[in-house]
Amino acid sequence: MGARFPTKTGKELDRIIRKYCTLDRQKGSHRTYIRDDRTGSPFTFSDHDQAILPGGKVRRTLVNDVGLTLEQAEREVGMR
Amino acid sequence: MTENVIYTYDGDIQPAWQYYSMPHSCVGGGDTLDDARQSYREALAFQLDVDTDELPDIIEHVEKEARDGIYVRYAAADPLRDNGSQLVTRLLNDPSFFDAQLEEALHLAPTAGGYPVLVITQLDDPVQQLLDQLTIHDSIWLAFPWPIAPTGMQSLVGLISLAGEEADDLDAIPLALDQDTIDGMTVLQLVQRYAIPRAEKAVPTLPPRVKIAAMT
Repeated sequence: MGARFPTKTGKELDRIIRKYCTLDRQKGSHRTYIRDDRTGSPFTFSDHDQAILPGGKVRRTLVNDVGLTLEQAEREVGMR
Repeated sequence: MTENVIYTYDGDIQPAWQYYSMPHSCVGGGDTLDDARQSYREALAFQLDVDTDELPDIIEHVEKEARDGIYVRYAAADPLRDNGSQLVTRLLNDPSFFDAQLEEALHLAPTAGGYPVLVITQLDDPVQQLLDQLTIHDSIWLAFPWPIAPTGMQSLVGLISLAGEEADDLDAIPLALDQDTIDGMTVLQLVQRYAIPRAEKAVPTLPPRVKIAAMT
């Protein structure tokens, strides 16, 4: 059983996303990102900066959408 | 492929209703389920560059924590599956069903969120409908009613997991099937080949885990 990811604010997660992805379009709080390495599919992140995001969602977003390995994701959130 | 969105509720999180979706990935939340639903529909419309009244079919699911770190998921529009989720939640909190061995097994096949999810399933559900609820990084557990109940045994539930191509579950049995076979396969047919029912007071058995890939 892996360690649980910590909660992050929307602003903190958005800051990590922007290290690996480019903002393609924005409308209000809806931001569609494309990975810088052009793999994967565009994804839309709609959480406000002040939102408190559960660890599971942080993990899912970093691995599934941003395309990080689990080790990279853990490093980004300060677990390593 | 039908759009699938999963709503989760956690009162300690802000906002309390969170969502994620596939195959078009949208993540966000809202203070109420209706707020989250509106945010998701706007996000999907924005990503697809269509109006919200032009969205494709969407299947909504609710995911709730059944016990520490283990979730159940059911189709939001189906009260029978809500009942099923309550039954499975009870079983997951019943020591005669849920033991350390099963807990360890469930954690071998987590979703991309890092936690196991038991999806309330009927035996005649198409397997493709379940595969549509996976990304390549997800595994999900199908929890299905097992109809052959020995005398005195109640609440029989069977389990089998489905793993995505790049899911954490490295030991899932790989099944290469052609798309026609997948399209025609029900949960019952999958279970008849691979699953073993797990029941109260039954001899504990580890539920099977498979990874289905469409042959090209």
